[in-house]
Amino acid sequence: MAVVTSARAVVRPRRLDRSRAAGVLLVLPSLLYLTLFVFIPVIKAITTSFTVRDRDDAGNYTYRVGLDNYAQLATSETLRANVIFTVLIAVTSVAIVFCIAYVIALALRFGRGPSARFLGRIYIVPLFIPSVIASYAMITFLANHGFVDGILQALGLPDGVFPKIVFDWKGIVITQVWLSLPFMTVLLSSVLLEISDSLIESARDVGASSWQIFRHIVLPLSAPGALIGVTFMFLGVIGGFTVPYLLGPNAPQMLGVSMVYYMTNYFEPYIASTQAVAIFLLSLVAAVYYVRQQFKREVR
Amino acid sequence: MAAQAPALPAVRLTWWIDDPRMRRMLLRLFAGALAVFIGIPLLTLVLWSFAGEWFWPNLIPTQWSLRWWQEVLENPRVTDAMFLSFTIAPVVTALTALVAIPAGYAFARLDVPYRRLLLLLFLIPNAFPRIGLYVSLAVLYYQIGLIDTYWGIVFLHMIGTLVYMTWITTATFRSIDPHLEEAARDAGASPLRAFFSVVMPLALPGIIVASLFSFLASLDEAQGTLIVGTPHYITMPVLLYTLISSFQRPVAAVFSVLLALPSLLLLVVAQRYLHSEYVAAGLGRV
Amino acid sequence: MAEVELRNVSKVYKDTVAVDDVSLHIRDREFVALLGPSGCGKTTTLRMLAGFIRPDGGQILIDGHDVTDLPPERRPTAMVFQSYALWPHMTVADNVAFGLRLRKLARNVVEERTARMLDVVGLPGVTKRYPSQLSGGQQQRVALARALVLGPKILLLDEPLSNLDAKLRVRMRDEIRRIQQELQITTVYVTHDQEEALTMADRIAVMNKGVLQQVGDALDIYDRPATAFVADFIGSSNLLSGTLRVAGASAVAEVGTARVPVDADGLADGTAVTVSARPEDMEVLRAPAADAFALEDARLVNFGAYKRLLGRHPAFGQLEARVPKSFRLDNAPVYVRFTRARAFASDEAPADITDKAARDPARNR
Repeated sequence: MAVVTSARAVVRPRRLDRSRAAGVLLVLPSLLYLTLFVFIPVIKAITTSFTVRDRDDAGNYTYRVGLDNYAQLATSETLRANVIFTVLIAVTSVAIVFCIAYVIALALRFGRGPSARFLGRIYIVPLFIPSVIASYAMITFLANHGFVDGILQALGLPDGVFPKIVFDWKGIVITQVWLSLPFMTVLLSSVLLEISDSLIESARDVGASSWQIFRHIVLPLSAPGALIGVTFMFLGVIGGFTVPYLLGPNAPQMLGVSMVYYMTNYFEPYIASTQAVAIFLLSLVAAVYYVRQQFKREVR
Repeated sequence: MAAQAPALPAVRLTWWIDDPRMRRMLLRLFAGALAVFIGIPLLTLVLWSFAGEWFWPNLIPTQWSLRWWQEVLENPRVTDAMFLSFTIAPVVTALTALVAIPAGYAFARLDVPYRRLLLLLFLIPNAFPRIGLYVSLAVLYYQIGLIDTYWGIVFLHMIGTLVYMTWITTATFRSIDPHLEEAARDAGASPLRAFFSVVMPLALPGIIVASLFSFLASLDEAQGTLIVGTPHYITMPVLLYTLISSFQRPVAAVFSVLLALPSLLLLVVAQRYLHSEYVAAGLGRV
Repeated sequence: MAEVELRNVSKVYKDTVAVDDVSLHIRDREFVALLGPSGCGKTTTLRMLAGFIRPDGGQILIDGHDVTDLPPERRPTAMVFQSYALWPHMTVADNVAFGLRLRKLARNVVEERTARMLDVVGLPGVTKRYPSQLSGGQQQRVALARALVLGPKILLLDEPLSNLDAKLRVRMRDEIRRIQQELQITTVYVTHDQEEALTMADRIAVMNKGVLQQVGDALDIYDRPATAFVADFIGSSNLLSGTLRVAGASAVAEVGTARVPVDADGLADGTAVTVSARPEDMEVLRAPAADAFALEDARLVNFGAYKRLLGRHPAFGQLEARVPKSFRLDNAPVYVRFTRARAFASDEAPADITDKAARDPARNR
């Protein structure tokens, strides 16, 4: 009988399987690297954030475990403002990029003709521009007495009409949008490509308008893949330094900048680590979602 | 007025999507706006690099000159930074390939124990905010003496490139029919021989693209290098930070154009081979 | 001289037994087909022969030598893959010559043997081309040449014709058989297509759910199926449940009120049996008769050379009989009677047996 029973013949002792041994051996170097340069720092950051340094009367430092660093983060007016600022910037940038990138991706997927082809060529350019350069380009472009301001002058508008964009939250958002557009578009395009033409045609067949097709078919089907891009970009903006450092205001600061200041200027690894963990916790939902979805996509 | 208004026919707000002419026009408008948004800032930089004199509010320089180019290229700080950047990037790329390709192969083909857990661990660097990771790494570097060293920078650059390259090579190896490799074994090739005669040549395009991106990522990495490399190891993008902060507009512009050249060269050369999945696999250089 | 012996070979995946205690002896120069539905373990068995999968139990012997623990590169077997697995970055000549070069043979020997083997498979003059420039049939021949050029003791073929169109499949069938005869090579051929197995193989090994059901030549398998699964899988069969009545040398199965004469080797009186009868072993009657079944909704299906009469019996479901092409249906009722049938102990439920496309979770990889 062919039911599922255990194999009855002599079961061979499971010799150290070559494939498994080779697999372990090949993965080991990268795992070792990640342990040393990623996992240990992450764990250290977490433990440091719970370490409090006190100074006794003799001037010696004593260390203990406590939540004081977090308390400071929550109570300090500046630090709290930084946290809120960071989250707002990240949410705003991601929302704007998502909308623009979705339009480009739709045009690339369904559009024909020269405009769509042209879009396909230009949207990718920022991917090849280092973020420092992009930030600098945006400064020359958007600064007061910069290029755009010059155009407004040429159009006859009075000096001073142009708002403050650079060294303000708007500068950070615009530059993040500029930099993240290609990544989000590529991701959304690949997600849209997975929606087969037959699904769209059958919807058109029953009389759906383009908007209805978008609303009821394209959007829901692309949502899970699109959210990978959204979370990944959210993590990137929240953990970014270059753009807010070069284009952001002095206060409030994004956590990336503030953290580096605490680290290098004040040499305060405790507060710096606490901020790092705080960013991580802030993005934890996004991080978990990103890891889970990316995992589902990549791993059978 | 009490007069009953005649019922208007329901006008859908989205009528224009179904109108091909309207749609074409809107698309053209959108493409044009995007081209301005992406292109003009870069063009401004190029103009600045050749500007001898440019007083606001003129829209183009009032005087052209190559003098800033000469100044930049003769500046020893610049040449030192270029030399450093171009000695770090190849080492980062080679080391990454050496570590990531075997791992990618193992994940794609071999029976790795705890494969799912390991793949999950490989996503951690992307899930932890990058700058937080760099700051924590800097703390560790102080303790083990890697702060302000060449290898400290190399290992920091590898965080991003390793994850990226492992995912790409895993996907590349997985796309190759395993029977091709088995056929080589069947013909008498050892596992190693089968890998180098059959798998490697077929995976090469993917590996080359991944390596090029790793090279660029290393060349462009600024924020981590700034934290662990100062004051003695100043790469090109780190130098650009200081140039920008010191408000030497034309000098920074020249330097920017110089630094963007390798990437733009790749864009021109590689656009044909650039599969979207390479980018989508996690290359978000924010 | 090359014989193969599988001794109690088993392969277990996480929750399923892919190959369950299979023992099979393949003689020198014999062409054996492993036949069964998808997921039956035939490909797993073949891959264990080739060395790609290591059995969890049992032994594999080639010419009396235990090769169970040898990797594929050290076995005297050569495999033709279902997907052909031609290396796309090598020319046809390089594909065929790869194994020869590994053996460090002189260049002229390599060239000469490659050319000769391409001749044997009927594909001269394509050496400089790449696999993608060849048709499916040509790729098939290259794969065959690549397998044969090393002079293997055993040729293994994994559904080699499944990617070809129907006409070409028949031609390649004859071609592979011709080459096998010419080279006198022991061959194991995996297929789910009974026609391929019946026309090509010296012997057929039928598998289902990891278990070897029957080994025999085409006639054995067709006329004397060993299990109800084989009876149903090879050709088509009418399957009914009944009770066996043995009286001396003759046996009948009571199916409802009808009595069907059956072959029932060694089954005891009173056994619950599955009765299996070929459509050609049915007599079609125009009037009710003893032991005949009335057919409802009778209809004819034309097969060109003959017709099939299909109909439903209220208790036993669909029945079919083969009838001459001149056969016509009018509105009068028709009856069928079994002239010859086999009985199998029905501890295998009929529903289970007819589950031809049984989806096994441990799919052949």
